[in-house]
Amino acid sequence: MRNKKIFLFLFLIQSVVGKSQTLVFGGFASFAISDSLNANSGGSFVWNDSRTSCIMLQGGNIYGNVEIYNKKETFQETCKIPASFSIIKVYPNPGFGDYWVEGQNIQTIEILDNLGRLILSPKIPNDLVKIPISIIDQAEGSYFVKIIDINGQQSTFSIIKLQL
Amino acid sequence: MKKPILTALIFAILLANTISSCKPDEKPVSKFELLCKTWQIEKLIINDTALQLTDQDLNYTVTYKSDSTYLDSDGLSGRFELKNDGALLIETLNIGGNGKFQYSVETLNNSNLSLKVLSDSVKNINILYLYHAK
Repeated sequence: MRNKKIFLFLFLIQSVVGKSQTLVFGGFASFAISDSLNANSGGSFVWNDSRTSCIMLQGGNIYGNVEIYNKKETFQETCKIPASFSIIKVYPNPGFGDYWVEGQNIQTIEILDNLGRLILSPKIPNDLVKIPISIIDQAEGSYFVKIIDINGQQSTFSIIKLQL
Repeated sequence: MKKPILTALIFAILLANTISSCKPDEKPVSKFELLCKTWQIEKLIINDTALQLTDQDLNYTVTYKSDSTYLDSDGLSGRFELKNDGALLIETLNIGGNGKFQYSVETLNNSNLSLKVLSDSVKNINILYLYHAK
């Protein structure tokens, strides 16, 4: 019985720290999600929603350097994850020239060719989390999408452009 | 007298070895079954040169399911078809525009998958994606 509890506890820790979309039921777990973000689950469930980059928590607490909002009577809370923790995606890849950049707190986007030359730096409308970019007039091949968020954190993705 | 006994003994050993190495219950795994798992990108080779993938690129995974649907880590999903000639047709359904891609399966085993973008989609370059099983 004791072994089962230890196993469940380890499973909870692994599920959340592993940043998966695992739904965690029951038990009690206290864990660090990042250097500045901690959470505990006091008997209900926790999961990491990679689509929204949010830790979803019911029946527990999230504390640390995060902003909690949308608190509802059901105790379901959505946390605003620091930009450094947010997930940015660029898709479809490969593509035929039209792509989406999806993520939060994006400040600048630069598209570079495979020699590192800047070929496009689209304007980003305020608060848009899904930004269209197009290199449809460029030759087929590989390009880099350099994304900088409002905290100055940089992510770079390789994209492949195919010819229609 | 000794020679027939020795011959019989050698024959018996060979027969036992043959029987023990046969596994008639083991069903051969089809290419489709091998494909149906989660794959993580490992390398991208363009015109025989490996592209330096970034940490963000290396997080990419794609899962092929036994119901012929797929889901990737970007949230794209759709259906796929593995043809007998080794072609893999992928159709993304949750994105606008042209979501159809054709690959040829160059390598497929328990731990590795490599897909070459078929020439219909590329004019002047060869693109090869290498994945490992997650």
